[in-house]
Amino acid sequence: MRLIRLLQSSIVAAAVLLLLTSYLAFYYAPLPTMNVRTANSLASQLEGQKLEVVGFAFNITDAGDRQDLNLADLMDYQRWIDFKEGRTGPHWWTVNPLMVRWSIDVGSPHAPMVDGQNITAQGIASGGGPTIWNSLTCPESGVEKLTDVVSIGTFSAPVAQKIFYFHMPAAWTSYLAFGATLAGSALYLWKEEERYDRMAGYSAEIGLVFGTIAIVTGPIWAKEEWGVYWSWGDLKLVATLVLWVAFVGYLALRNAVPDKEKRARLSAVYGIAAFLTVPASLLGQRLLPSAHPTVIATSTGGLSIEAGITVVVAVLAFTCLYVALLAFRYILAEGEEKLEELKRRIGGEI
Amino acid sequence: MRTLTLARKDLIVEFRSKQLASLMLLFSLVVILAFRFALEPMLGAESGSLPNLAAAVIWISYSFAAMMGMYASFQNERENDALDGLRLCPVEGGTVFLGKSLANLMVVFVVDVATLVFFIIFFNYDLGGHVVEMLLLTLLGSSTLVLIGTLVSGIAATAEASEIVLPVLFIPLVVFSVIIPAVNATRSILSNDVSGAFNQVAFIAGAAILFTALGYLTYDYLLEG
Repeated sequence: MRLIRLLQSSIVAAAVLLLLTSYLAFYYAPLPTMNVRTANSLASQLEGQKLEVVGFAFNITDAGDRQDLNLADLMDYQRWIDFKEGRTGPHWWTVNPLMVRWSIDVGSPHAPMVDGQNITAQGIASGGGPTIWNSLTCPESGVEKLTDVVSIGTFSAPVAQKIFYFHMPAAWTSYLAFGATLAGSALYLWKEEERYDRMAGYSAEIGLVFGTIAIVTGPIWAKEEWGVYWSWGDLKLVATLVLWVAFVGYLALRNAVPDKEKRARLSAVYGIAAFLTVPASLLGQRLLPSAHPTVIATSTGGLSIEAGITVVVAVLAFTCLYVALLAFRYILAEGEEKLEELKRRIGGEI
Repeated sequence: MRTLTLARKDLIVEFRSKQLASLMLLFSLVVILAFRFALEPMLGAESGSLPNLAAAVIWISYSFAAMMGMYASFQNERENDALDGLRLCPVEGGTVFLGKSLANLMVVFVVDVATLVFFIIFFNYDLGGHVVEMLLLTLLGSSTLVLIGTLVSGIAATAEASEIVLPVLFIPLVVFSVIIPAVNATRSILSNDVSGAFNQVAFIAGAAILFTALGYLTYDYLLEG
């Protein structure tokens, strides 16, 4: 009874909040844009400093015929030459730690380019249109400058960014659910009580649903914004995918062990191992300086207050949905057990 | 001490039959050959100095070899109901885990060295004087693969269709802890940038410690059957 009440209240809350999220995402949260004045003032502060450019775009059509843009070492040289000699049309160039990409026109297929992780902005020139950064070269960077630079990032497909209000909460909820699996697994091994095993198992199933939503919505946005569906150099993406695969394995394992107690024990150990490796890897990669791009801050850096509110509502909505699904799964399990019991009784009488 | 006894037991069984190691040697030979055939159009005559390719081929082969070894070693325990005997031993699960890992490591390391040799021969690859570094990296990588493999095979051994469940459980755990850092480290070493591999090596070692702790603490539950 308590479960049914929980299900009712959480599903209503989730529905209301999801509707609200949709409204806020499309009518309240502004499109992510670059404010040219902000960009210029930030840029003049940053001029000459060594810093890591996390993401920005500039439109070379507005560069006029400036020939001093020294981009060749960042980009596919031949494509740069093609542009300079007028064989291709206007380009958008985006530089971020994930990739440098190019396109013939906004919205057309882009291709990942050289890893632009350590790029220093040395000079800046602003034309009539968006700010143009020129002379981009490498070296060491001050990480505290990251957010500044992120905030002047532009989006080449601003409308596509709306999917973020569903993508990020789904990803967050999947982490929450897998975290609950971890907690349930550890508690089961400690206390050996069946309810913890249930929590772990059910939570993993639901986490996989949310993880799938995140993994599907991410590439839809990435295709528009980055020009590719997937960036294999991005640790966050790869970690989420690996976590997802590990939990598919977790559920496969649960299906492959019929005995209840044994299933609980085996899957508890794997649940811990599966969840621990991925965050541990992420943490390790951040702590150790390495060749991997370590900071991925493209989507949250420049959030406006309105967008922030929308994200909070969306996260609440998805969390309510998680609670609702979990309650529903428990109710389902009760039904399953009753069915088992009935089957056993019939079997006994025959 | 008990760890060593258990490892010795596994190795004696292995030496008497020689089945596992010889099959695994054959397996790694076949894997390397398969890579060679598949990559032939790409490589042509000069397979020489492609550190990226070498790193990928070597570590995928190592992972496969470890996976095979794990499966086979638990198969032995199952077939003769030896697992029951192991359970009756007056040792903790953690000790069994360490013993098994040690024995498995011996076999897998030998096979991995052989794989490396096969690779050098069939890909006509020149390690460029980094033989010792490569062997050390192989040892470290194999250790982590084996630690994870021993844990996972303990989980999968008694499941239905365990031969399919094992790789499904094994691969996600080794992607971050071994394959990515080891491939990067190998690439650095083969590109004559040995110091560039240190971080990656530290990372693999950290994973080894993590999984040793996890296996040591949880193997009791897996042996309960």
